[in-house]
Amino acid sequence: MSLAQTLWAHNADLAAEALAHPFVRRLADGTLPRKSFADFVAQDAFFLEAFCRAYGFGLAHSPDRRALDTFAQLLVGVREELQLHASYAAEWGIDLSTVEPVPATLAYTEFLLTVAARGDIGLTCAALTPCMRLYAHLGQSLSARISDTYDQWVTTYADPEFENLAATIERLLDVYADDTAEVRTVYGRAIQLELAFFDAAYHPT
Amino acid sequence: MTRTPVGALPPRHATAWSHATQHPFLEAVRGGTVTGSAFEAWLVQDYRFVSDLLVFQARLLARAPRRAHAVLAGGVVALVDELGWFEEQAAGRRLDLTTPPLPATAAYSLLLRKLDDAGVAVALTALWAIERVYLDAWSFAAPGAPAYRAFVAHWRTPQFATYVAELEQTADDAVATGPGGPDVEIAFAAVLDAESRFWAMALGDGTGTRQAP
Repeated sequence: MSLAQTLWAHNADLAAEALAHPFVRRLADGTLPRKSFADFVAQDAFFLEAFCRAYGFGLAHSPDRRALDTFAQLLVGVREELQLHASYAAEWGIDLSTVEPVPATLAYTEFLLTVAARGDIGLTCAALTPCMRLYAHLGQSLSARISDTYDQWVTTYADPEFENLAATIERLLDVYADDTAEVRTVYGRAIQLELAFFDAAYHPT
Repeated sequence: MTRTPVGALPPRHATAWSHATQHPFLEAVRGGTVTGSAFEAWLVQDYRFVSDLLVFQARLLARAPRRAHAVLAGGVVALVDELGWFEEQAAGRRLDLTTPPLPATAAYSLLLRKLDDAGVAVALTALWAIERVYLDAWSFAAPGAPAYRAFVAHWRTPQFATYVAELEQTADDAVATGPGGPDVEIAFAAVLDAESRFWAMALGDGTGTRQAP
């Protein structure tokens, strides 16, 4: 089993918790209040900008062409993801440029950037991978039972192209990270921050 | 507070701008008087410069405001592709890309590292200046002698010109809203000096001693 697979398996309970989270469940069945989804999209756009910054650190510290090419590919992917958010924002009248991050978003972005700024590519991958793998997992798990309301969101993350991006960063993790306590801690922390992100975005009514 | 657009900088530094964009090396590329070995030696140094520029721009992406991300990210990805293009050229010509940097290349690298610590408006202006000089310089060298024509065309494509225009707009936005002032002028002048020395390196002994245009 590769390191990326080991880390994912080790955090299976948190992944299950994310899939069962009321935000995710109600997004799938279409009962999630629109305001909750709109706020989530706005916060997620802010978060993805931090992903771009982290990829910047990844590129700046890439030791070889493989890492350079991979981070460049991932940067293209996240810019495309942001375009999707921009289209949602336009549809619902959200001005993404004025969005203020809530504490859960800030906690996650500061964690990502603190890790990435250290310049250890393996550790950077350990911080970035869980988001990619979790969203691919959620998209693929929900795609069979999605209502019409938020189907575009689920379709994006269920797409084989997104799975390919998740697998791409996992391969980078396998190459540059060792199975250390710090790598495990960083990976697990990122998934916990994902759950906190859903908690913050969920308004039941 | 209204600030001067960065497009006003070249006329304010007209002599240095002309050194940087109309250097004898560029005339020699246009006229075919530069030797193949001198051009290839310069090409290897330019690969090293692009590697340094990629690191600088990636770090700038990590700290720039969100509105600058699209153009910086697009540019970073293009620089990764550009390094691949250099590697193809080097393989075809059997060039050693691990050749150590010459003094002008090392000095440019040092300038980029200093710009890592500069304000975002200053760093964005410097990045625009670097790319605008490159575009204007190769436009000056166009169409280039037959041996170099493909290189000249590669470095002055319409897509590159569009990117340079987007960088200018991004730098203008940053200068208009953030601290700029004398540091912007100093960084702009430092880029022009580094560019002139980089071209001179190709014709000289590698020290980048400036030559009169």
